[in-house]
Amino acid sequence: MIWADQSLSEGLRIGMDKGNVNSILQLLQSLQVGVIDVRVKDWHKDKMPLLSRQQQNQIRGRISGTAWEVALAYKLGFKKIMIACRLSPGEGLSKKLHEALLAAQKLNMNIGLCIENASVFSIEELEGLWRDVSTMGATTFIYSDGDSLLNPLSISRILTLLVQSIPLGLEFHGHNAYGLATANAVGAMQAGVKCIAAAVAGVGRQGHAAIEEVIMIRKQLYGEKELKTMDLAHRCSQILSGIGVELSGTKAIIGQNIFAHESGIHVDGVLKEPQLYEPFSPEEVGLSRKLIIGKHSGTASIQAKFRHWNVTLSALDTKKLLKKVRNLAVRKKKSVDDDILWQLYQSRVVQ
Amino acid sequence: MAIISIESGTIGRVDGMKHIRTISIVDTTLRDGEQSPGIVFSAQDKLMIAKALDQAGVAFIEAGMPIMGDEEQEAMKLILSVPLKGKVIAWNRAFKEDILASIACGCSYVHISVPVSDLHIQRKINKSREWVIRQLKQAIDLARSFGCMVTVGAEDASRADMEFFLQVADVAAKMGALHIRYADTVGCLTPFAVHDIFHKLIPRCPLPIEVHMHNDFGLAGANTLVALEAGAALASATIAGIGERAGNAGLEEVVCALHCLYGIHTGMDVSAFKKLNELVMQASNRSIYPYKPIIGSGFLLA
Repeated sequence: MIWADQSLSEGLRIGMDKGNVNSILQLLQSLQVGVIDVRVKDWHKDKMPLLSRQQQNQIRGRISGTAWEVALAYKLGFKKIMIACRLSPGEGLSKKLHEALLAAQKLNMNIGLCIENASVFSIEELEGLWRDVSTMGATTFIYSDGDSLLNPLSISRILTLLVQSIPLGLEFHGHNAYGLATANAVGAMQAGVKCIAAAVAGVGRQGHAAIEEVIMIRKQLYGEKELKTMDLAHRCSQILSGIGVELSGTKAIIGQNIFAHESGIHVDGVLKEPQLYEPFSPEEVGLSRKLIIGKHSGTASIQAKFRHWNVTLSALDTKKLLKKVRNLAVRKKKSVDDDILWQLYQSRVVQ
Repeated sequence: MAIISIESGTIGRVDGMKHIRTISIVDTTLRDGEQSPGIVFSAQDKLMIAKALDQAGVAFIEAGMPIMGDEEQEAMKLILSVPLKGKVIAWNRAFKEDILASIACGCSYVHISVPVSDLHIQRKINKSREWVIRQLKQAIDLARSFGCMVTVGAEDASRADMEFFLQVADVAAKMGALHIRYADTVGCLTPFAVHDIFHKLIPRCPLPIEVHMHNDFGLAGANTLVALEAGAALASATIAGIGERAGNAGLEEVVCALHCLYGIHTGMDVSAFKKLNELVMQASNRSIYPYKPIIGSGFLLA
């Protein structure tokens, strides 16, 4: 399974530092990206240089479907394009679309057709449309759930049928209005679709499947153990930084704090056996476990923290310290940092 | 209202009232949500959030864990001192001291949680399935003797033997529990696994099921929706999906998806989400990820 990146496109949309584009391209390659989708109009607006030979292989230019856009894409050096449009059931391809496809075919471009409102079409109609466009040179059909109307089960059923008539070149592009994009990408995967649209941390005007989630779902939940992920958090963090998006500490798979434990019951469990409260180890993605001391801490947390500092606390000291910690956490409305904790411990003889 | 026909995956409109379902939301922002490291709600914060949740139409407000100590108990008492339509629930392990702490606060709804996976039973508490059943019976007995309504939680249900989950549900049902919570404690289910599990579980479970999903793989919302569509009657959620590790199912996404995609009612007022969010973000000193569905600033629906 390969993926079509939407992160760079979002970076360009929100005004990222253009000097970062090449490093983003490299980082995306290291995540086994299949193709990187960018909007031709953004590439043009940002006065990006002509695409290099290598970039022509990596990058696909998205246009809405007019001959002049095809010409512009060609001028900018794009060899791969995606015509993305909304169609009306029963109406077939418009004249403008025909012209755009012809123009692209004449220029020997690699052509993908993306129907942004694909879910309003019946399977038969989509198959008919595909027959038309494939005779006009299109080699990829992108089924897009542009309005976030579908769910993983319906996606799986629809695409299982479609993949039979479009075995090669079927892609899925979902949006995230209701938080279902990753799940829908999994549905597409289950159906046998080989290429899905995704973005690091699911960024995008309407959101996308989060690539880090899809990768780890494949590895941990679908048994693809050969996937290399020990740098995943770091690479994703670099990409987000490069496109100008702040990474949330609790973002699934790659957030800095997803292996931070504070609740007494959880800490106690994780110290005995991390599997109790962690679906996979932090090292799987290049993160590390954190023991946070705060309002929810229990005696196990306090004792573990001090053991880490080579101090064995008595039961009485633990109890007293726990009370102080909880009071302080509530007063300051935050967890208690290590140095403060140490000070509280040191001051215990002064009661 | 546009409704998805799950069978064909096409959009259709339902004109009649025939198939309109309602499910109940169990909000656990003030308990599981606050467990996200570094979040501290003061008693006043909890009161304001509880009132706002109540106004928004939440059926159950899981407000805290009294056994944690003075601050939790103060907050619980404060919340219980105001008239709310929603039921205020205290979270408990199946221990006498937990239940008594909840009773002492004046709680009339108690949630009693027991581990149901062999992994948790053996490695976390070093006990047996029989011990868990005995402990649960004692705890429910105690709570009921004080006139409390009880809900039971099956921790780590997603990695448990389904037969044992049903055994626990059976005990809970016979002892008058209202419903049972199925917890995917480490967020490791896929929507397809949820579909299979719940289609087998729902017909056999003697109690309505509340689904409690975690977001470790970004699937909490999706898993919640698939389970509800399969027949679960209640859903746990938190405001902005805050919670342990990568969080819980987000209240806003789940409710909006239920209303807009599934045609399932929740009794919630979605116009209240903005204010709820502001309250929680301020009280927790967090900001919302701009791409968070429904409530993210950078997110546009069109």
